[in-house]
Amino acid sequence: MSNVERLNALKQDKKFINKAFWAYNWAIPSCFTKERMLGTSVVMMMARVADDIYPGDVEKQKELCRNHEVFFNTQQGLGAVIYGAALGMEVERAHNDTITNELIQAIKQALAGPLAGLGDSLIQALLTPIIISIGMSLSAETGSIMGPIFMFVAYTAMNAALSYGLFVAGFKGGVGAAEFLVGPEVKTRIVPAMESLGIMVIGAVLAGIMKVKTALVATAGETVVNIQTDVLDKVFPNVLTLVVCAVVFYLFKEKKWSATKIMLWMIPVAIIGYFTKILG
Amino acid sequence: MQITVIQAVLLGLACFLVSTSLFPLGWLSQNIMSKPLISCAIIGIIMGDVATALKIGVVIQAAYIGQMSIGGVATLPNINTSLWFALPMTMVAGGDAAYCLTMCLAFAALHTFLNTLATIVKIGFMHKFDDMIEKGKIGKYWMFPATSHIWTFCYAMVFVTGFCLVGTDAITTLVGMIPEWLNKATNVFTSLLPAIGFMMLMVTMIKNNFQWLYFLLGFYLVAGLSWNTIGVTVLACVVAYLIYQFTPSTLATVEEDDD
Repeated sequence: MSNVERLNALKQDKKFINKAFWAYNWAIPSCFTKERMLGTSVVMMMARVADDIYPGDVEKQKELCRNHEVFFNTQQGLGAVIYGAALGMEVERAHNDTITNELIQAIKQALAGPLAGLGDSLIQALLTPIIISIGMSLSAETGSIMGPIFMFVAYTAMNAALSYGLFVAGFKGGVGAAEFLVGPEVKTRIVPAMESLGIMVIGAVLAGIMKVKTALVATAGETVVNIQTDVLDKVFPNVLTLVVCAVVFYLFKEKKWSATKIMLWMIPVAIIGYFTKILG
Repeated sequence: MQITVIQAVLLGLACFLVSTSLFPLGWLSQNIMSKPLISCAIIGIIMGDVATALKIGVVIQAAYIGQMSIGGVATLPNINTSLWFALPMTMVAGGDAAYCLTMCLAFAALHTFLNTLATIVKIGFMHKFDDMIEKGKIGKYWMFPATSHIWTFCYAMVFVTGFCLVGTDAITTLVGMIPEWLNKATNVFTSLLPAIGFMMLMVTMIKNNFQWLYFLLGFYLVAGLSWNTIGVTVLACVVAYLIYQFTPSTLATVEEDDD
């Protein structure tokens, strides 16, 4: 079997793909450093499969790893397509001189930014909070173990499907696989739809777990009016929660307060609110 | 209730496993395993009282739901290690989420300092392993992560196991001294806490003010009409699909001119 045939066979080799994918999977959590960010994890993946691409040729293996000892950062889930594409191009480069290291590095860096932006807003800031919110609503009040189990299973299944699918797509299809992701279709159609889903679910979960109440009672002669149950709940149930949230949102967005500062301010507010019976 | 030596060691080991981010499935489970609610579930199992642990856990998770590793977003102090000794102690002392969080935050500054130290050491090791590649020992690169995990192991054992064994009595006495009115005031405080996490999330999510309508709809369905979350999620999926359907596609279409 010639060298070219062997390398082309690698492209279809399920065992090789899985080996590289698991190397990527174990490398990401453990190899993050402030200097190169995820760069080290690419080296680790290459080091794992170097012997398959250049069997017995230590000098070539060294070069393969050395080339990836550079800064690289993206969102790791959608970024799987970059790991896959980089590996696919390295396999090509082993028998095709027209693909240079500069080309591979340029493509890696060009895709890293847009995919990081999309991955952060879609996965980190949207899908993960939705999954956590649903998990929390399962555990709130009852303390049921189903919440954490749901969180773990739902997130891991989603992430596995996404990462593995994109890794293989990148490995086999190269850069073309990433073009759809960074294109306008995802940005203008899919992201706004997902945002509305996320905002609605989060509003629902918040109503379920956060219940700010007032202990105020108005007395007019003989009649006693409980402000919470007789007045506020008739207008809009749980409306005080919305008021508190509006204030906190204003402090975050307009006043640029830090979360820690807001948390520290909540302590006197809670104590004063308790003694004046405004909160209770 | 007391923390036994075996429980303290188990807590330390579990903290170590979760802190490496490798347990149980590497990157696939990395982000979810670092969430407080999952840690609370494991602590609850070790302490033999899952329900109490999760009731406290939900409050802490609510405050931390907006916590993301994205630059520029307001963040809260890291509690991923301190939770492992603060929650067991709180459970033994019979405190609530506010006590647990206070203990965690008190430890946060030390945690940040030790973490920075660890990352500097890790960069040193990275260059050592780069040299290994130059020497042709490419298979050995696989050992790089182990260096930082040794640090994590010592860290978890000293702080989690150590604190659990030494500090529990002091915390129990302290919580016993807290007057009744303060206990009730902390209940008010914990009822306000979720606003922080959820509004942090909304700051990143809300791009235009009309999106608050989705929020109000979801809120009212639960607060006013007593729907459960699963029902709202299904409805939200329908809404999302409709939005997707009614947004014009940007994919290149062939324009047919009949005239």
